[in-house]
Amino acid sequence: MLLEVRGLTKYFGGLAAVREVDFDAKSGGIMGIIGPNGAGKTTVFNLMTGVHTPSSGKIIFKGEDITGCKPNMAASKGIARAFQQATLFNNKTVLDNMLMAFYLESKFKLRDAIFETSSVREREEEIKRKAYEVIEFVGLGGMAEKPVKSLPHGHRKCLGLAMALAVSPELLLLDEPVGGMNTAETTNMMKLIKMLEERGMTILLVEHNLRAVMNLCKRIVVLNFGRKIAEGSPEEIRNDKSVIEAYLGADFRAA
Amino acid sequence: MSFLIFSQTFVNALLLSLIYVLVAMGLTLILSIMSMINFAHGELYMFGGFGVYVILQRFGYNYWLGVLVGVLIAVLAGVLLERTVFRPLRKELLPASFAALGVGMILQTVALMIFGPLDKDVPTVFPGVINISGVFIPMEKLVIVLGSLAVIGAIIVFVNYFRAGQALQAVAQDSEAAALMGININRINALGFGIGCGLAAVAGGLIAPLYYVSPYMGMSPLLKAFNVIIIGGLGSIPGAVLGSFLLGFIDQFSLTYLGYVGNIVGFLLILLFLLFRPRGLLGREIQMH
Amino acid sequence: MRKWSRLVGYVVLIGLLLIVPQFVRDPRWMHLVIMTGLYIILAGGLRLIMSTGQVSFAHAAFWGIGAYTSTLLVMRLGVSFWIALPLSGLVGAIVASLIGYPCLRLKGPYFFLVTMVVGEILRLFLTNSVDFFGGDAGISSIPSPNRIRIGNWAIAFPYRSVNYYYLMLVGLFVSLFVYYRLERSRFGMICSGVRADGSLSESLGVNVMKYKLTAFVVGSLLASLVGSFFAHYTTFISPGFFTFNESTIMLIMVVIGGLESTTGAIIGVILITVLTELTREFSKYEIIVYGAALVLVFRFAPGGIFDLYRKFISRLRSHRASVA
Repeated sequence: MLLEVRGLTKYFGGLAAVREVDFDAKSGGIMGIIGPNGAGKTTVFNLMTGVHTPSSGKIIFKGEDITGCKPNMAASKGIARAFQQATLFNNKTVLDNMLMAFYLESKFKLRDAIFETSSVREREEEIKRKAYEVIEFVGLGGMAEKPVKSLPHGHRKCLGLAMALAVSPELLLLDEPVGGMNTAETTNMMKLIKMLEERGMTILLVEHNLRAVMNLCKRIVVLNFGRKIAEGSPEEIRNDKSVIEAYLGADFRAA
Repeated sequence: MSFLIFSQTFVNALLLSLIYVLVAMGLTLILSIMSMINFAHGELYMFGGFGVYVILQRFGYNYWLGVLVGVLIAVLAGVLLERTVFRPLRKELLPASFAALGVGMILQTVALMIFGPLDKDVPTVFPGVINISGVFIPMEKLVIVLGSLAVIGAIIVFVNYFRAGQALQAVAQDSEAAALMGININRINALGFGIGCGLAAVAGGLIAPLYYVSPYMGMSPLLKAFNVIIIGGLGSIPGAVLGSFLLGFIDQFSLTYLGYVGNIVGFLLILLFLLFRPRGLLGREIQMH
Repeated sequence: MRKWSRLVGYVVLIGLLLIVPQFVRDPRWMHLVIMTGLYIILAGGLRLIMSTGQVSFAHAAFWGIGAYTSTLLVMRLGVSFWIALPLSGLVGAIVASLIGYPCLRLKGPYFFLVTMVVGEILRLFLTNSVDFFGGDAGISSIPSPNRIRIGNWAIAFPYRSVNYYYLMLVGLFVSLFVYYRLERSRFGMICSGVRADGSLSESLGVNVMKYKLTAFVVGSLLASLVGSFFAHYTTFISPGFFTFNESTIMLIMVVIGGLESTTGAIIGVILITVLTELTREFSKYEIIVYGAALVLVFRFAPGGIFDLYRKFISRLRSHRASVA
C-alpha cells in the first residue's frame, strides 16, 4: 500500500474543511477524488503536501508517517504536486522553470556555486538534458525558450505537470489537471496522464470534469462537506445514490 | 510614587497614544488597501504642521483653519499621488513602497526649500490650565485629546456605517472579491489613500502648537507608526488603536520613570513581537501578487 | 571565440583600474573613488540579500558592526589590522546568523520592519555606551593597518595613501567574483525562484530558509569586512555613519540599478555617486534628486535601470533578426 490516509481532519477556525477522511491508494494506477465545490478536495492535497497541518489524523506514505511534513520535505520523499492554478515562475522561460524543478537533483553546496568545477558543470549539463526530455514528453518541445507568460492555459498546465515530474515522484498529485481546458487540450492531457500510468506512476487526481475522471480512474473517492461519502470503481460511483444526491447535476448523468 | 507625577504621565501617555493612533491608523489603512508601506506618511504629517504654521503664524488666521488647510492639501496630494504614481503599482509591495519613499524625499526637500531647515515655533493656541482635583492639565493638551478623539470617532463611524466606508473595509479584506461585487477599486483606493494622508495631517496639525514644525518633523512619527503597527498587527485598524495605546503608555511611562534608557524598552518590546508574534496582536496577511 | 574577447575585455578593465591612481592625483577624488568601490561591495551584498526577496534596512548596521569590531580589536586588544579584518567579518557573519534565523522567517514587510528596528537598536546601543564605544562622538585616531612584508618589499599605509586604493581593489575583485559566481550558478537561479514565488519553490523541494540565510550571512559578512577597512582608512567612525538613512541610500542604489544582477548594483552605485557629486552645489537639496530618481524608476522601470537596458538590447536584437 503506497498511501494510507487515516482519519484526516482539518479545522479552519470552527469550520471543518476535511472530516475523518480515510482511504488507501495502491501502488500504480490512477485514483480520483471528486466532490462538489468546497468538498475539501484541494484541502486534502494541501494536507498531504504539508501546506497545512492536519488537526488530527495520519498520512502514511510508503510505510512512513509523514503527517505534518513541511512542503519541501514532501517533495524529497517522493510526492509531487501539480497545482490547480498552474503556479509557475511567470517571469522566466519554460526551460528555467523546469531547471528550478530539478532542484532536488543536485546535491548542491555553496562552494560549488563559487568555484565551478568540471563535475559541477557536468551535473548541470545532465540536468539540462533531463529538463529537455521532460519538456518533450509533455509536448512542449521547441518551446523551451518561450517566456511562461506567453503560454496559453493548456500549455501552462502541461508545464506544471512537467515540473512535478522533475522530482521523479512515486506519487503524483494532480489538482484539476484539465480545469479550464478546451476539448483538444483535455484529450491531450488525458493522454499524458495515461502514459504516466503506463510507466508505473501512481496518480491521485482531483477533478471536476467527471467524464475525464470516469475515463481515467480505476478507483474514485467522493467527498462532500469534508466527509467521504463513497468509494469504489467508476461503475459503482456512477450508480451510488448518495453521490447522485450530492451532485444533483445533469452533467453527472451525462458522464 | 507620587500621584501627581503618575497622573501627569498618564495624561501625557493618553495624548501620545492618540497621536500615535491617528498616524498609525492612516498608515495601516493604506497598507491594507493598497498593499504598500507609505514611506511618505511622515511628510503628510508635516503638511498638517505647516498648514497650521503658515495660516496661523504667517497670516494670523484661525488655528482650525490652518489644520483644515493642511489636511485638505494632504488629501489632495494623496489622491493625486494615487492616481499618478501608485495606481499602476497596485499590489506590488516593493516598487510601491520605494516609490513612496521617493515621494517622501521629494516632499521633504520641497519643504526644506520653502521653509528652511530650522524648527519653527508655533505659539500656544489654547492658553491656560485646567485643574482636575490637583492634576493640572494644560488646555492645549486637552484640546488635542478631544480633537483626536473626535477624528478617530468620525473615522470609526464612517468605516462602519457609511457605504463608502464599508466598501473600504471590503477592499482591505479581499480586493478581488470586492471588485466582483461591483466596487470601484480605483475610487476606493483614492479614497483610502486620501483618508490615510488626511489622518496623518490632522495629527501633525494638532501637535504643532505643542512642539514645533520643521521639514524633518515627520521622521520620528513614521518610525513610531511602524512600531505601532508591528505590535498591533499589520493591516488591522483595531490593532493600530491597541498598539498605539500599548506603545504610547509604555513609552511615556518608561520615559518618565526610567529616563532615556526608556527608549530601549519600547524597542525591545517591538523586537520581541517581531520574533515571537510577527503578526502582531490582531494582524492579518497582506494581500500580495 | 566569444570567450576570448570577454577575457580580453576583463584584462583591459583590470588594467585600467590598476592605473587609475596615475590619473587621479587629488586626494579628494581618490577618496571618492575608494568610497565608490566600497559602496559597490556593500550594494552587491545587499543585492545578494535582496535576491532572495528580503529587503534589509540593516545593511549599514553590519557595516558598522565590522567597523566597530575592528576598531576595538586593534585599539583595545592590540590586534593587528590584518587579523582584525577577517575577525570582523566573522563577527558580522555570526550576528547575521543569530538574527537571521528568527527574522528571515518573517515575510515581506515584516522583515523590512524588523531590520529597521535592529538598525535602530544598534545605533541606540552605540550612542549610549560612551565609555566603550565612544557614544555619539565616535572613535577617532584609529590606527592605520601596519606594514606588511612580502619578500623584500614592505607595503605601508600612511594616511590617505594610494595603497588603500589597491587594497580596496583587491577586496572589490574578490567580492565581485563571489557575487557574480553566485548569481550565475544554480544558487542564483534558486534565489531568484525563491524571490519570485517562495511557496512554489518550497513545493519543489527547495529549503527556502537555507537560501535566505546563506545570502543574508554572505552579504552581511562582506559588509562587515568593508566596515573594518573603512574604519582604519578614514580613522574616524561614529554611529551616525551607520544609520537607517545610510541603509536607505544603499537600498536606493540597489533598486535603481536593478535587482536582477550585480551589474545593476554597480550601475546604481555609480549613478547615485555621480548624482551626488553633481548636486553638491545645492547639497542640501540633493535628496530631491534621489527621490525623483526613485519615483521615476519605480513608476516606469520597476526592474531597475539595468533591466531597462537589457530589455532595450533584446528588443534591438529581435528587431534586427526580424528585419534580416
